[in-house]
Amino acid sequence: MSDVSSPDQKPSTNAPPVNQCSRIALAGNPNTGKTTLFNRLTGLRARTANYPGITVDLRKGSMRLANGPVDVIDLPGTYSLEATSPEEKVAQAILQGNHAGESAPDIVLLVLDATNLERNLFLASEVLDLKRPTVVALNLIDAANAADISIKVEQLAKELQCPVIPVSSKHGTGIEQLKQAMDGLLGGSLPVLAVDHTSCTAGCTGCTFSARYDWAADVSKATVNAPADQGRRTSAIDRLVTNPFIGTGVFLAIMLGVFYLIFSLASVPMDLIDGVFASLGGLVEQLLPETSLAFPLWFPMAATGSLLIFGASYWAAGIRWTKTSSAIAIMISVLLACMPLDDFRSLLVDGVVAGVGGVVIFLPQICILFFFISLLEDSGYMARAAFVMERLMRYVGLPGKAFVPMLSAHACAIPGIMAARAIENWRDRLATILVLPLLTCSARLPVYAMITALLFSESPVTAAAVFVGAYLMGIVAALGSAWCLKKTILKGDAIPLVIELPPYRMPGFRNALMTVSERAMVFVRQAGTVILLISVILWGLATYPKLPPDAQLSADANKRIGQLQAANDGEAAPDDVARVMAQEALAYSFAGRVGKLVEPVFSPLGFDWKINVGVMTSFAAREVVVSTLAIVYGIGEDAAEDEATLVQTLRRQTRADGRPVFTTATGLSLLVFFVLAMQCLPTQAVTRRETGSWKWAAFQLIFMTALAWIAAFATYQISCATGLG
Amino acid sequence: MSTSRLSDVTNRGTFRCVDVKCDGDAMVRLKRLGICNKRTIEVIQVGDPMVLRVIGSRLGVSRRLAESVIVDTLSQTTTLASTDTVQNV
Repeated sequence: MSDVSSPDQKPSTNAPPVNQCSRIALAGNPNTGKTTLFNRLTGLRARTANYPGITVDLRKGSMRLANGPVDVIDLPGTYSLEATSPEEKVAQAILQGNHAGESAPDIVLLVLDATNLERNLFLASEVLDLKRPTVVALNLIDAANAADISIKVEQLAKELQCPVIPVSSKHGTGIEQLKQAMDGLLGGSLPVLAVDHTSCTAGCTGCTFSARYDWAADVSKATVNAPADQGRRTSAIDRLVTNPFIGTGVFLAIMLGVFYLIFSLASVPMDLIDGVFASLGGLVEQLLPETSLAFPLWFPMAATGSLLIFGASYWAAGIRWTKTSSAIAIMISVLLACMPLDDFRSLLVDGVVAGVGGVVIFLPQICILFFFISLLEDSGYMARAAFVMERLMRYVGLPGKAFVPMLSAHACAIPGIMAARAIENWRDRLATILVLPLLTCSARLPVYAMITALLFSESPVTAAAVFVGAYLMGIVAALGSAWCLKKTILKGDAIPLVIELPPYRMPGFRNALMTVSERAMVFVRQAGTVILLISVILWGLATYPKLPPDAQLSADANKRIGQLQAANDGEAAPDDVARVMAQEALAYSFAGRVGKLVEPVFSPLGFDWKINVGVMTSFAAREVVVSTLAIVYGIGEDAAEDEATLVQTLRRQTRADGRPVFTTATGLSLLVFFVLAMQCLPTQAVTRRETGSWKWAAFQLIFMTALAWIAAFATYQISCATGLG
Repeated sequence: MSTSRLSDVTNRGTFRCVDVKCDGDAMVRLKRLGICNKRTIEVIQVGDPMVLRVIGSRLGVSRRLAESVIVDTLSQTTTLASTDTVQNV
């Protein structure tokens, strides 16, 4: 077996213009190690590109060949150029040169699996028929050698009429020869395939699939020598793993293990991130002067600080400094530099740092989740997971592949929605995305903890039962909603399963780490742009208009100050007065006003206007409701971490008629509302990104809010009727 | 040699595909993985979904799709349990 084989090729007349960066597209079946090869070729220079109007991410990178730098694009894996999923349609369009915004590649790097050449030759026949300059990377050659499969590479190159290079992307063998072959095609004149290429279509009649497979069988017969008993290890494992009963048990055990690792391993980095953002907030406070500086001194400092934040945000989002984007950054920075010092400080500390920090804290969970998903995918297990869950998921109209995103959503809805890309059919994928935020994510846990402590602190068993009930309610609501969606607006049964169960292979850690870094960057980009914007808007709503210095305090505030004075020998402590004033300022703000405005909507659920303010501000992130309730009930944001103080304060709250606010009925209603309500704009931003339109994000918000309202209404009214009010 | 739907196969065995009676995406998804005219299909695990071996790959195929695949029996085990006993039909 020679290392490189290249048949004679005809010179092309369509060489790219001098100095234009050449483009190479990687195409191949799923499970051929295509992405590992892409990572091997491009290293850490890869980035994820998303095109307007499509929801498919394409990984792009660059590498240097002797002829200069080239751009490399990793096309989604596909079994044929007759596409059935959105990803395959993009791969097809780019290879055929029909994709808007993406010209046809100069070279197609066709990745074939050396352990199963005959199957891979089907796609090869279609790609070769495109008559584009093509190099074949015969990947997994190490696995083929280990399985005693020998391939006549020179003969194969003659059959395919293009260079064929045996490579192992996992171990890096053959990569240099592959680069040389691509360099050879790009250097000077581009050779193209012979017009009378004989794969199939020239004389193809009847079933084209069958004809292509006939051709593949002939080529395979002439070039491959493989022992008959292939795949015994995979067969042995599959006897257990695809068994309807044992396989389901194995799947649940693996997923439980993964989730245990997510929650146990993530706690340390999450605490670290929490600490870093808290320190950052403290540092910002320290760096800012305590008293207002002279305007000529303050203005350039504040404007520069603001521009630096814009710079970081633009970098994260990949926004270029054009005339428009520069003008926006400069104008807003000038406006911010004109703000009073206290407002500027609050914006940076409470809006930017706390807002972004509150979402970035989930990054470790997301990274760990994607690390394990990548390992499971590379090992070949994920296809089995979809296989065993197919029957169960079909009852609610979803495919088996929807189960992994659903499990992921129990850590955070955002990676769950991102993982839904594995679902081929668009309607199935959309239905899954729409219901994923109903599943209990980590951000809901502080809310559940607060409410169960409020209602059932004396009965740990009841508290645990309510906690579990909240989880189950999320699962039932998600599956029920999926069933309803598939019976109504996304009508149709789940697309029946046809899935390749690839051989089990040892997963590559390098590849998993690269997948994690890529996913983390997508999340950080969201945090640096949309989430930052949402945080600042919600900060603005909770801050403005400012309480005038001469404003008449509410009766409630006066009463509270009177109580504080009476308890402290006639003079209230400054910190206590500051907390009352914070409560008054929030009530005076837009958020407070909206809370009062929507009282008629939420009072049937047992909520008073202060809870409504919590509902409004928790759109940034659900757990924000805890700190908001701490502020709005006058115990201060810092006290929100002290659950006992918060719970005792909430228990003391009374309505105008003297009845307690937080009865069992109100608590259960609030719990149900937070189990089912959207209350997470970052998730909405990701829904918009994955569905390609705000229409579905808006639909998700409306249907979840309506569901939450109806369920909370029923909970409150039934609880009151049974004497729990 | 008997002809039947792939979904009606109750025992493991080896079959030859003679027709695929569906269209659109379902047809493409089956045929591009090799479940098309003249190809040999080995049924490894019956049930729903079924496990097949086609062109060297193991495939999981929903019973609903298997209904549209017409096969000729080449050889078949006599019972589900006795996986080693293959009879030529």
